[in-house]
Amino acid sequence: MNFFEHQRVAKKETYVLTLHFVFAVIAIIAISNILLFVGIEFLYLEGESLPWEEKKVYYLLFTCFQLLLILGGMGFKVLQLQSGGKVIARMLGGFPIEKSTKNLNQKKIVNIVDEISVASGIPSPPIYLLEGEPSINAFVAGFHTNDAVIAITEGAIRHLDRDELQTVVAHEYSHLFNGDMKLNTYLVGVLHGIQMISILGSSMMEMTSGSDNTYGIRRRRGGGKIWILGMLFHVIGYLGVLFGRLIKKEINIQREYLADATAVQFTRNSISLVSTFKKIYANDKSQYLKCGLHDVVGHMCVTEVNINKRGGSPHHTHPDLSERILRIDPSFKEESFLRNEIKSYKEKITLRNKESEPIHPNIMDKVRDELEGMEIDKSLILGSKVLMGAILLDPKANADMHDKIKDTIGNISMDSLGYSITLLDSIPVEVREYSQNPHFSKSLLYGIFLHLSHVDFNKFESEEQDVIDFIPKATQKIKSLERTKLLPLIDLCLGTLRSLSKKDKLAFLNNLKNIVKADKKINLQEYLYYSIVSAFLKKEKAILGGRVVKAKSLSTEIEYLISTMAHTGFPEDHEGARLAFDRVNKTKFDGKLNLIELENFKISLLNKNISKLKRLSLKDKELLIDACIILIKFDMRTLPIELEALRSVGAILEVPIPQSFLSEDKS
Amino acid sequence: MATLGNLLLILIGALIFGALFLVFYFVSIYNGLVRRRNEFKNSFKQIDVQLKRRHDLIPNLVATAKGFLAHEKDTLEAVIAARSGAVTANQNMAGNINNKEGMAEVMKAEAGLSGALGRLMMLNERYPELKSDKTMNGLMEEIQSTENRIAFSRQHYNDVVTNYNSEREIFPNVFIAQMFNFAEATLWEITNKEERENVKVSFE
Repeated sequence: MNFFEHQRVAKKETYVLTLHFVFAVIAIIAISNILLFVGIEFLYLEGESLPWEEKKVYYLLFTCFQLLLILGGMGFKVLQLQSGGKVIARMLGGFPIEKSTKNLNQKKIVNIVDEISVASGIPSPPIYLLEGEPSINAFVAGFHTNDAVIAITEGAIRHLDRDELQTVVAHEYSHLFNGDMKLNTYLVGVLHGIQMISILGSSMMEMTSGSDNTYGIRRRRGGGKIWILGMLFHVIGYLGVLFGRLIKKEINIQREYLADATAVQFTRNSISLVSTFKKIYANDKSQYLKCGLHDVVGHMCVTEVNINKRGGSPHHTHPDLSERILRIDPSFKEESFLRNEIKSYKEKITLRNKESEPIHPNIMDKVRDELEGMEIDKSLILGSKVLMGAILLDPKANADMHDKIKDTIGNISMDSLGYSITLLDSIPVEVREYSQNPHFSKSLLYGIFLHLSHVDFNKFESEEQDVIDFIPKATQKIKSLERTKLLPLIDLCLGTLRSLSKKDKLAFLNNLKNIVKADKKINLQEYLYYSIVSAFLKKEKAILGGRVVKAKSLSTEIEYLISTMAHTGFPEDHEGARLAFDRVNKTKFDGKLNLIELENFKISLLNKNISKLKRLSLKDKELLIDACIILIKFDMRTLPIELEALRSVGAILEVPIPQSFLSEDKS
Repeated sequence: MATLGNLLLILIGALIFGALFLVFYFVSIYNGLVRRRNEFKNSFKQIDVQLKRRHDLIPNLVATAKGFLAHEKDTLEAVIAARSGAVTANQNMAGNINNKEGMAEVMKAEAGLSGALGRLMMLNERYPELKSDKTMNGLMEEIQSTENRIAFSRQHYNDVVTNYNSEREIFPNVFIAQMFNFAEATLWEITNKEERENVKVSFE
């Protein structure tokens, strides 16, 4: 069979299976209807009969209700799954690759995606790199072709040659081309709808059982019979979902075969597709994506992503690799592959793992390009990823930067890096060198906090002697630095401290906390620095699928944040703070917030409140940052503390805010 | 009571319904054919776009290679000559899909360019400093990608044309196709022996 025939077969199979699926749904609706009728007829009425005309109305009503239930459940799920591909790619930790990248590895990917776009006639989607993902995999995400993204793991880029990468990209494009995301979303939606029947059944059971008898149904005639009916519904719904899943799995497998065949159509290179599969086969230990969200993207990947940790059979979304190879290359024999070839593939992979250099995200390239010809310790910059979000302060900054700040959130321009580097340059070389050593970085951070709280502190728990010995000298150095240099220095130190163990990080944070508390009062600057450090050191790998909280339910916390920003911008000026607050309240929150008075403030409360905001959706977070920026801009003057506050809000909310917008004034 | 009049009414209704159905059916076939025809015309233009991309890249490539390949003047000049030949041929054809002679000219000129490029790429192996140059590497990647795109755009054109042709030949579409003069589209074929051998340029 050639690939066109394979495509035809797979499409026909999908068609047949989808028909099965539809019939299954109809059957479930019919069965539960019949059950209800029988139930009403024999159980509930107990022989008393209503006139047919009246019964007909009840039955019709129930069928409508059931259809509504299924459609509602389906609509809800489909809406839920419709979020654009970008959101999913970012949630998985994907790093966007720019089309204009200068990095050869990334340029290659951009070119390959464009090539397949020519071959398939579909416009090319944004590309994401799953950095640090050792498995060979890729996925497309997104409901529509125009909001889809394609994401490729670092492992794929590392282990596959150009032609093989092309086949992987082509496979993903085929999912786009064949509309598989939509199909899958609808299937999941219908399944959710069927599940509603089972939920209806179980709630009928709940209503009629139990001693509290809240609903008072049991007392009335027929309670137990409703329970039986509920149980039957529950079982029917459950069976429906079970069968539906089985059919859905078969459909997914057919779509994979279709995508393989379409990939061959796009590349006309079945040899590379086979060798890609063989490499994945050989690499199978790390075949799975480390990150989560398997349910969302699993069916869109090149190979299986899910692993069942408890043993037993994994929840497959993809056909067996050897079966897939066999469809493309009928001469393939699994035993002889396992006996002869697999070893050489494995060797190739281990070899590549050792020798290949990391695939830097493009921001690193920019730094590197920028650094060429500059006399600055490169490892200092490249080693510290925090710098990428570096915020550098400049008291001369003034108004009219609202848009600039917003534009630069999470998007670092060349200017800002140039500026970062000049500012870094102005930190004495000696201090910069210290910041590369984990011990001395600790001492420097201790020094900063000791300097801010004006105390002599000497109770350091679980700290090595050379850290403590260096503290006096570090404090000395800190004192000679301008305030604007402190945050960049903190960034540098944090970059070095990233490698500490979790236990060490917490012990270190605890010591810092004690310093902050030592003088029995906390000023805002201390608090802000502390929250930046703690947000960074406590940050773990993003927890995926975490619950997103609506802004409505966090209005007190938002009130706290906005009030803090208002008071920060207008120290000792209550009226000013109120004016600024009112303006933001009106423009951004429909006047729903109340200013919290200064005397009611507690920094411990602030901390608790702001960290809750972490769970907001990205859009709400953006709104908050936006509001903060309006506050800063309100009085046409920008205090250093305001920018420090903005930065720390960014750190806590996990939205990076680089400070490139200040570069103009500097130059 | 089904009287004769009622039966007649039902019959007429069924006839009208059937006629309407047929009309819609044929309209959808017609629209499908038009869509596919536009699709293949568009993908023909895509080939042009990719060829243009290749022509734009070559001056850069030659300029970069010049520094390393002072002794290979002939090869470089051959590339430049082949490029200008290809550009002229493309201008003469003026993107006209029905200009068969022009198309043949373009194919020939492009094949010549592929050959000249291939020879230049082979030199690349002989000059290590050229191979390790960063700019050159970037350009190589671009050229390779462009060659792939040209191949893919032709392939896509052929796929779309095949789709269109089989769509217009199957029953009952064939009646509509003949009635409204949907002409058969020609596939892009490699007529030139040289290009046949040079379809894929590998730089790895």
